[in-house]
Amino acid sequence: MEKKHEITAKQLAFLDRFLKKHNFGSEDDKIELKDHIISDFEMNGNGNLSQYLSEELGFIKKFIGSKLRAIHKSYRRKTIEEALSFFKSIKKLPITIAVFLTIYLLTTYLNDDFLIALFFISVLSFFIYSQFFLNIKKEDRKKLDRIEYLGQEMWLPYLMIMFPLGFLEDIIINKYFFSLYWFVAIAYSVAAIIVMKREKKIIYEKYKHLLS
Amino acid sequence: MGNQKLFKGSLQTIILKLLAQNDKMYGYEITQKVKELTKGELKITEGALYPALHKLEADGLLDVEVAKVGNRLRKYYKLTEHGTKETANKLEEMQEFLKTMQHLVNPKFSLE
Repeated sequence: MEKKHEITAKQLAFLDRFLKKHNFGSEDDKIELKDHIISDFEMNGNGNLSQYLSEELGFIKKFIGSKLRAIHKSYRRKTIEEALSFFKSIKKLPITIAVFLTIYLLTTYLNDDFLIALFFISVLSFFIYSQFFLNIKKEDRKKLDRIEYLGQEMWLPYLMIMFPLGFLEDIIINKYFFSLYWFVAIAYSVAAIIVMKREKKIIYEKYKHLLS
Repeated sequence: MGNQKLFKGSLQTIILKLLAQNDKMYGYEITQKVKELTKGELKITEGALYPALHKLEADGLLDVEVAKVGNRLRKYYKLTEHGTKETANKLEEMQEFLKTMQHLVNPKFSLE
């Protein structure tokens, strides 16, 4: 690929400041974005980096947005697949049935106050574990979007305990429905944590050049 | 160009095929390679390329490698084992699709 001109050290510093000032993505995003901008600027630019960046601003914003969407979708798909495997896998199915039966029995025989407390504690403990006990360093979150959004799927179970706060006593009247509701929150939490642990291992191996 | 709309749905297959042939490539290189191979007929815009690359990476079909090149770091993409298998599937799907289109558009000169 033939270059029209080479980017200068001054322009490089300007580009760094530009990306930092506009807070464009994580360090990983910046590596790719910067390389693309420099390559294209050296091939097709007219030598005026400031003008080039103004023209490419739309692409730069879209670059970050589309990446985050891809990451979100991928984690959601993996978590749903994992949750479905609780029913599809012969190994996991007995545990799934045992958990559901336990939840159903608790719902049937415990008094409502104790049941509500147990529902909260069980789902919330998975949420707390996923957010604080997976040993993901704060600085690593800033470096890579895939680490930053690793725990996002836990927000669904969290919403499942927060959403019915006002009318929990009405929900609890229907024991079948409440058992199912509780079971889905637990199953999704467990699936999300399994995906988080698996992905964390893959990401730390794949991005060892970037992460601590 | 009308062609651009037609090939939009094939973008992932094109990327996978190029990576199967070239071991590892970086984003800008892919856009230039497609331009070169199609003599400028097809142009992958960066707005389409990176979302496709990020999706393929998030789905585990691509692996990344970062290397220092001149005054900057460069992110290279390469196929994972799963990606290599998926490339073969996608190319097969593409061949089938092209055959079907040939039947529809030009029945006399279709491949079968």
